[in-house]
Amino acid sequence: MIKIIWPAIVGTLATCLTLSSAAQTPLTEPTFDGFGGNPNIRTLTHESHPDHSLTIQAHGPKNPTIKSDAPSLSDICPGATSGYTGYLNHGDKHFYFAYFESRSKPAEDPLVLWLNGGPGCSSMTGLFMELGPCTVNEDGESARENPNSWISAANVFFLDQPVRYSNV
Amino acid sequence: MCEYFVKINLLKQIGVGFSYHTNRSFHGGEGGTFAASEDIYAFMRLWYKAFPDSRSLPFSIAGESYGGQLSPLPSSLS
Repeated sequence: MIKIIWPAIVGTLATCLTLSSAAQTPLTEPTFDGFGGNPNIRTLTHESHPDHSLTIQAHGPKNPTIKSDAPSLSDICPGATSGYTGYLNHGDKHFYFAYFESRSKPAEDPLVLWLNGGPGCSSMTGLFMELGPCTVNEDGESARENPNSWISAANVFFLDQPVRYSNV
Repeated sequence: MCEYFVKINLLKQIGVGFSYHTNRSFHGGEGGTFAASEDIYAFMRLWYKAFPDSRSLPFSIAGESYGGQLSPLPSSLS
């Protein structure tokens, strides 16, 4: 099953560009300049962590400041809320992450960082098969909403790491 | 299931999931659990700076399997 679904997930994540709407209260948008001329992509820095930066892109269904073309993940991942995807950059290492707001009270619910194990298991395992907003169907080509997702009661990060695990 | 991911990544010489590195000579010498925890710590600092509203929310790190090794270290840095 894994052989079939993995390319499908990667492909659809990269090409999903449809906007829908839902009643959610997103976090206040950071006021940073656009990155590479794309106003949807921002790179954030921190003076205490000069070797790191965070590149983020908002995803729908709802985002107040870049509503016009913010892509939604809910078409490929039913049950997905609004949030961010992006990379934590450290030198030549780039850690992918996906963040989903709580389905309940995003401004009050806890913040959870989810890490799958291995070492070497992608946290996308958690996102698409365990506690994420959707679960991949048996046909390997679609997904269904996961009513038991942790995002029902928490804001959740899924962080893909480490970049290389052979020396862990 | 995890074995399958490991095989894929070893064959392609890339990272985990959608994460990647651009240095082809990188063989993991800079990696390791502690280095990962510093990255996770920086990740949260960057996030909190960008989204100060979220600082007031209770924060937890959760994981499974080796996530049990990865999760406690970032908290020891803070």
